[in-house]
Amino acid sequence: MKINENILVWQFNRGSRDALQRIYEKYKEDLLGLAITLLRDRSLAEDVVHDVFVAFARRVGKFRLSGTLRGYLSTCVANAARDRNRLRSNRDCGLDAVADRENAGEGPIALAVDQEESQRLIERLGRLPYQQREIVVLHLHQDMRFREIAEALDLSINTVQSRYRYGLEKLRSIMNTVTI
Amino acid sequence: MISFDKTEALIKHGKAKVRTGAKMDKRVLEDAIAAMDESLNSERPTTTSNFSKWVLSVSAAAAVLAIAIPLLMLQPEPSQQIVVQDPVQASPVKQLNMLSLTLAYHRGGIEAVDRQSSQAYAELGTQRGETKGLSMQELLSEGNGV
Repeated sequence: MKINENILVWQFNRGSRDALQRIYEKYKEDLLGLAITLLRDRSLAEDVVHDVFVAFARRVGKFRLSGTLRGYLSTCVANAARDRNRLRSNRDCGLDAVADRENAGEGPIALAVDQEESQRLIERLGRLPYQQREIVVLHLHQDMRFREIAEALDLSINTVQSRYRYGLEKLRSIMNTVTI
Repeated sequence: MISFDKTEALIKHGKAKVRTGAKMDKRVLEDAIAAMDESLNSERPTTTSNFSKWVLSVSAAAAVLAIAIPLLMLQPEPSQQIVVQDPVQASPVKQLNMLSLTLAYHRGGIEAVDRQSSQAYAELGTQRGETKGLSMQELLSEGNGV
């Protein structure tokens, strides 16, 4: 697995289009799922994945893989999604916010998610503050360790762990409310 | 009542399964490949200059070797080395002749040299008349080996 990744990265660094395409094919759905869970907007999520892959392609010849490629790309998606979310939050304070919400509807997520259960989960995760959601998703969906998340997001490991705990407690209470 | 661990498991296994569309794939791949090509093209001048530096250093080293190796090969072995004989040191007799004539010249000039040579001819029993054709210049040149 790791060897294959290293070979792919080596080929990519040599300018192989095929390697770039294979990396995209391998991780596109995983990364799009992450972006959708974080942003709850398919259009924005697609833009994030697009930007991450274009930025990755620009690093040809210079890219050095320290951990896993999935972890690296997931971190890039999380960082890009956070920037998008910040921009969106700022924009939502403006006059266009109401019109945008009306146009958005249920479409983007409904089209993206096949399973009803997953869609419900995204909605529940969406009730968490962004900072907690980000850590819960990176840890549980992208299999990143707390230390990796702390390094990727430039936070202390204690902050990461406490945000995770608070996030999960909140989710538990949401689920219990729904179940009851 | 759902426990903390069960919540964790539910979230973990409820990960969204999404599919990318053909339109998105096309857009991402086209833009990513274009970005990769652009990045590769912008790096080329640096690569060329590094290559030029390498070629120059290799050429310089080759030039030094091209000069040094023939020189080393052309150098004769010690047994074949040509001993350049100093004309003054050609033989002990000549050396002595030259030394005595030089001393005589320092003592009394060309007359002293003439006297010494006359004395030498007398002691060796050679008649002065027999050396009629031998000039002072020829004697000196014989002594100096020039």
